[in-house]
Amino acid sequence: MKIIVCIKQVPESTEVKLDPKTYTLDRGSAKGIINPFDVNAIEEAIRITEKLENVETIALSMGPPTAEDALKEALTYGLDAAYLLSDKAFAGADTLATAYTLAKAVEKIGNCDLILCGKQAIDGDTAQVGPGLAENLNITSVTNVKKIDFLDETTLRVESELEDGYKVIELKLPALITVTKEINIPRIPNFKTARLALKKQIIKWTAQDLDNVDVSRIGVDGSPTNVIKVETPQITKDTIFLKGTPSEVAIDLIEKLKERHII
Amino acid sequence: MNLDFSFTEEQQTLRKIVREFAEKKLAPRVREFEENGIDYDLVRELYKLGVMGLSLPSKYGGGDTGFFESIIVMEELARICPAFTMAANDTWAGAVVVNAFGKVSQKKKYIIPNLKGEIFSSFATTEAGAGSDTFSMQTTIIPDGDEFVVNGSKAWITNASVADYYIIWGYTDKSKRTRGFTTAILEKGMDGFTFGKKEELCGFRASFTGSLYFDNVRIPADNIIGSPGDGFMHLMTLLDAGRVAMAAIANGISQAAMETAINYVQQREQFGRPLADFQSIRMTIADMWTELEASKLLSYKCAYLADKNPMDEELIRLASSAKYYASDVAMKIATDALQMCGSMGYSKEMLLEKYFRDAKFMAIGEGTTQIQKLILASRLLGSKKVIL
Repeated sequence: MKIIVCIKQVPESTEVKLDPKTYTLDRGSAKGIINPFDVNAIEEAIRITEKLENVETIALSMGPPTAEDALKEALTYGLDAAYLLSDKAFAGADTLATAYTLAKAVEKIGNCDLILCGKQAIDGDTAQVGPGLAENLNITSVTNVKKIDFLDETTLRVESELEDGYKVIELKLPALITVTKEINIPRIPNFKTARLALKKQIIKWTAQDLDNVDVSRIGVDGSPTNVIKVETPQITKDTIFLKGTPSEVAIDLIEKLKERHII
Repeated sequence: MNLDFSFTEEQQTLRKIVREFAEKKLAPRVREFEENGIDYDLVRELYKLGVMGLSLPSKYGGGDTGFFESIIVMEELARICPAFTMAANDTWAGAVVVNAFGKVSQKKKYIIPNLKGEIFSSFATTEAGAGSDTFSMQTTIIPDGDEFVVNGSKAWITNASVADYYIIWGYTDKSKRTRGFTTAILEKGMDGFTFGKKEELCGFRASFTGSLYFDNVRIPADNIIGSPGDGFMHLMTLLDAGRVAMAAIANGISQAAMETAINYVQQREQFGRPLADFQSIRMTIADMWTELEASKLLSYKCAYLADKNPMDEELIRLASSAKYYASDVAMKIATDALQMCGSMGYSKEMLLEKYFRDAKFMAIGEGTTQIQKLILASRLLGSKKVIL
């Protein structure tokens, strides 16, 4: 079985600052870490290798050259190999372009049975890349998964979180699963495993290394959306705080939006 | 000179792993350990993490690394709990002795299970009447047929009653003075080998520190390390590593106290502004950081020298220097940090009062500051005679 874990290097959220000119995240202001949800995905992949035989695990990331550090760290958990997609042509990609580019890499790696992703990245919070990747690959995807069981080598039973419960889904491989923090508590890497991992080479691919790439679908050209600004809402004397249960607040909010002719 | 002050990628990874363990698993239990003593299952987790016994041979379960890596582990653990650090380090200190001077059969018997976390060691030299004056100890290890008979006691021993095997020192022939000094292995459960109560200490309260009593304990000849009379050489070879280990622990305490104070003074406001804005606070912070950096560099150089040549004369001098300097710095930083945080620092709501109590021990254990200075001065003045 071959498992690919998609990871993203994100700025550590407690340290990152906003660029005062562009109002976007100043990624250089904080150290890079593996997106926390992706660490859960890595842990789940390792747990699968401990339950099943002949499982190969691969970390895949798209990012600037510094993302190599995140992949090195991913390997210390015990993954077998790591690939970095890094090219100026990929820069500025939104989730659509990112999902397409990752799909091309998955195709090139080949014979992938299961893709594990964290449910969302803590910098963008869109939760779109996982499902987008599955669509590009034309495979089943289930999001917000908190439990994965193998019924047999090609059939999974997963529990997918809802707001007030969870649904149980059986699906066939190949598939893509995005995981929540509830799925596991990631281990602290074993130092002996980590030492071996540091000797591994990370395979780096540019746009030219991928096959049959439509360049109009990568990077800025492939991105119909663009983050213009990231800001915290300002609290003023006119700010109204709505209180109650989620249902009560929702009803109250709709009324107020109607009063203001917003909807 | 060929200087490179950077840590290797492997060392950085090691530090990160130990820090994560310390912050996630150890930090939440610090107060619990102070009240109830260390949970040794957490020590066993360190073995599973692959960070214990790193400097020992991989064929016995070690990591074939240098001593430097052990210093990193101790610094990071001590930043969270120095008592846990000392106890954890001591659980394999016996394996260091056996590896350095033992027979292959002893190495297989003790080091392999030790580095799996299946058994723990303790290192016992001090006696009630022999602290700084180590060689006035009264414990005897007397040959009797194909066995040796041990009588005497040890005091202030870390992991007393917890450890499974104990490396002890005593006289086989006192008339030969240091040439009659012997190293032996005792095991918990041997007839006549008993333990005293857990000592109530000012700091390091989580540590199981107590006395060992030997009443005609018969040990096989196979439990002697090296030959009778080798003990002095064993001890002299090992003491420097112990001093540097204590320096690393002291630096961990300093790091914790300094970080706590720096975080606090940026939040606490008086007279309309954060304490961090006041000059006296800023001067103290600058002193703290500088002294800690200097202390760390001393210990790192010791680790570097130990990995090149453990018998290096410079190491012998520097180890004493690093140990007492780190102890002084820890006490100063812990005191200043507590002062900066005022009543909050003095209360148990913060850990500063614990760092303050723990820091005091650093000038006492593993050779007092005064003894370290005497040793250093002796070396500097050209005399190699050990203070007797």
